[in-house]
Amino acid sequence: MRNEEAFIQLIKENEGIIFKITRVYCDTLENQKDLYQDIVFQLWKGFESFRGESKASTWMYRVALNTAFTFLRKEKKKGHAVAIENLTLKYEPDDPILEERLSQMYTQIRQLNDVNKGIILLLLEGKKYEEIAEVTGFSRSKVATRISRIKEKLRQQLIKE
Amino acid sequence: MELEEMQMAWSQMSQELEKQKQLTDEIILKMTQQRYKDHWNKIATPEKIGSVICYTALIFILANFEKFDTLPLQISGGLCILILAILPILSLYTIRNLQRINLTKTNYKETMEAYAKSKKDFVNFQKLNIGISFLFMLITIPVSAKLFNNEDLFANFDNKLFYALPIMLIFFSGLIWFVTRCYKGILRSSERILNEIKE
Repeated sequence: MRNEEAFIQLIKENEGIIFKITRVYCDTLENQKDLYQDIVFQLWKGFESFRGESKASTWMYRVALNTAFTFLRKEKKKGHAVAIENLTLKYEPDDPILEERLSQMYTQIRQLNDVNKGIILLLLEGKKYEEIAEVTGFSRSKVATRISRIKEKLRQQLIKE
Repeated sequence: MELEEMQMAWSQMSQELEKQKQLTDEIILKMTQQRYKDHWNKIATPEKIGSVICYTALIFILANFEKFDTLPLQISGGLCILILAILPILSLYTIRNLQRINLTKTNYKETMEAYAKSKKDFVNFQKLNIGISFLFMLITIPVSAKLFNNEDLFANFDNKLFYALPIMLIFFSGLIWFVTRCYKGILRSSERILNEIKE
């Protein structure tokens, strides 16, 4: 019972993280909802064995990114049913300029490969290179190299536009 | 949009998201329960059906084994039993390998590598599976002829087989072509994942 309460608390405190990951990896609302549920389920599965060796948010990013990666592979083959109707997952910014910028940002991020998607997401979340390395499993120097390549790619996308 | 602009938009969105908390205790619990059921059903049903069919056929052949009164028939019957016993186990084993990736304990890189590797193993198993299925199809002909019509095709070769065999070969060639095409896609995607990691 205490475990259940602690889990609910953890999810509530970090629901923004899951939401942002679903938006980076999926472009339709239905898939976002489905991935959201998959991530919560995987977190629940691993919650018991999570012993706090790393920060809770680091662990959450790791599980959520792993789930997003495998979800995308499944998604290409067969669709999922959205089971929970009252899961709304809506985010409507009041500022239309911000809305436009966010949509442009997601379009650009979705053009990156899976590894780089995960890295840029963590970078945008304000994570340090060491933390990104811990979540992704790449060395710090590899993370740094990838980030400079991502920046270059973003610049090229701008030129193309 | 450059990275710096992205960071600004992202942080603005994060701040607004903090204010718009949506999940309730009930929704969170429902999500875990619903997914547990979905997961279990997805794994269990097709594999269960396949295994039940294989083992029913196996029991049927075993129960009628005394009808195989010549050595070639006994060898064919024995091979049928062996294949029917082994195939479901192999199939469950490769599926279990795919599911064994523990998303809660590995990092992103490890998950991608494990996924790509298990996909490659899956393709190799399917190639083996096609070979075994072809052999199975050939030995099923005399076995079923004996079991259902009490005919020994090894002693009295039925002329109808002259027509049936080429049809079966054409069917199998089509199947191999189709399956190989599908597997090429899987292998390409596994290679792409591994290349993404190496980049």
